[in-house]
Amino acid sequence: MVDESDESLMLRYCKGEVRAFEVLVKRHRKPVYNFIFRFVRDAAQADDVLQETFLRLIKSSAGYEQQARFTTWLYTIARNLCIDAARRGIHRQVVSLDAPFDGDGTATLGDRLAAEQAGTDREALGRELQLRVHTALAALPDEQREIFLLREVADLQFDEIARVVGCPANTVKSRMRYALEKLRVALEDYHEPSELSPPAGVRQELIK
Amino acid sequence: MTTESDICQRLLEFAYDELDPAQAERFAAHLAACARCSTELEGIRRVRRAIPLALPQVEPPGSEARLMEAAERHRPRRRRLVMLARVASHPAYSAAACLVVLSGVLAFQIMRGRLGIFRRDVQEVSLPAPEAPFYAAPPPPAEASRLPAGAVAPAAAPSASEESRPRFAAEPKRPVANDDALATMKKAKRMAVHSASPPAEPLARRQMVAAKTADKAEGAAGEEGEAEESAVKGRVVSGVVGGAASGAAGAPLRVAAQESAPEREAERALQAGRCDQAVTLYDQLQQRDRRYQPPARIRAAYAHCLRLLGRTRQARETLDSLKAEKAVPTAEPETATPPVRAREK
Repeated sequence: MVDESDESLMLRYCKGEVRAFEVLVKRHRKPVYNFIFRFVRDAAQADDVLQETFLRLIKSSAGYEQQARFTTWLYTIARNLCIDAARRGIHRQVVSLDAPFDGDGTATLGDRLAAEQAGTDREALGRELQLRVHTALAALPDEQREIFLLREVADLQFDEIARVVGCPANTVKSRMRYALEKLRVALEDYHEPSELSPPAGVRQELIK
Repeated sequence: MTTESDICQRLLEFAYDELDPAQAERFAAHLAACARCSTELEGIRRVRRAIPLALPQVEPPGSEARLMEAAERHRPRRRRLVMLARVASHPAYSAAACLVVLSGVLAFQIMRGRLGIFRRDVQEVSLPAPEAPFYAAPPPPAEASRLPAGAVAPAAAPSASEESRPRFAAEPKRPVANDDALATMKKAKRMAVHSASPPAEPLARRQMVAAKTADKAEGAAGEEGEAEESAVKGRVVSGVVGGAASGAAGAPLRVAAQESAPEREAERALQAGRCDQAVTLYDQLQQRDRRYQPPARIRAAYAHCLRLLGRTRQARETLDSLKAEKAVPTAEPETATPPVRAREK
């Protein structure tokens, strides 16, 4: 069951086999969460969106047809919910002034980064790098950022991203190039610590 | 033929290992000769090296168990059959089905220029039109608009079409459903005066919007004022639709359940936006009965209040319970919309 394709697991769930769905959850929960989290930039909200994503998946499973790739479907739902959530996030910032008890979304980027990496020297070295990447990502236009995240965090291929966001593959690629270029500029005068730039042979491995 | 710039387009796929081995080899050869590509590739690789550290994979905070619970609860079991059986057993749905059949027959008759003989039947059905589609299951918009058009068509051939008559004989079911549903709707309307939609709007459209609002609001519920209002709106309307179905089937109606005085007071506070007061009152109700939940139609607003007061966990549970309940009446429209991507877009 572990190596079974997403699609066939989904079909089995559609026939009522809950175990098959469990495998799907185990397989995709973390990457989908990470995509959502990097998109909405709020852990609590990301968790909500994650729940909602799977709930929609479950509820519309009766209409599932194998012609649609499972991950395409999954990330289409997640992305749409992220866009909704991000829109609400804009309102929320206004609301939160009146709602001091709202535990979500109050931590600053700095706080979160610090919490995320309570730690080791190696990670402390990366703090500047993190700030640079996060800032550059935040400055990207939405349509570039989502493609960057779908490729780098969700690890979808470009043609699949094109189906998720509903635009031609060439558009996806050109947006990705813009995003990469801006990130490259953001990292331009950043000196990689030596352990981050391993010799060329290992580099390939690291990228994969 | 592949030109130089065509091959440059492959850079991203090469950088992300999406080329097949032959293509990758060809690109590697190109790379040695193209300074622009090799510079850009170096930039891409530099960014990619930073990603694992800059965006480390984090563990989702919630538990798998809750997802699996939902998966268990909504497990599909031959839904199509269940759906058919349900449709067949609900007068409201069969009324809608009759409507569809009727309008099909009508269209057929119009095409054949034989409408005249059916003029009386048509009027009987189309007179309550301003209200009828509101509580019957939503007919496809095309049907809804076709019906009134047929109703005013002029009388022509007086010859009765024998094979069409029996189909109309099934119609008397409809008024029965109407009575039940009408009573239901009056109740629901009383509870939801503020949610009245403008009557001028085409009915089928209004329903679709309402269904959409309900769907959206479910995710949005409790995020901000607008969402709250639309949540309440959407829910009330869908409550009416679902309620009409269950009311017609003789089941007790959720919307019209008996409410106690504290409940009414809590609801008033909720609608007035006095979250703290509403939540306190609901807390008291829940102390009395641990399983108590506010009525479904206002639960989204309640969740919103909980969230405003920082009780996000409870807010989430409340929304989940709502979804779980809502899943039953909305199962049909949802399962009836098959293609995955079309629905999500």
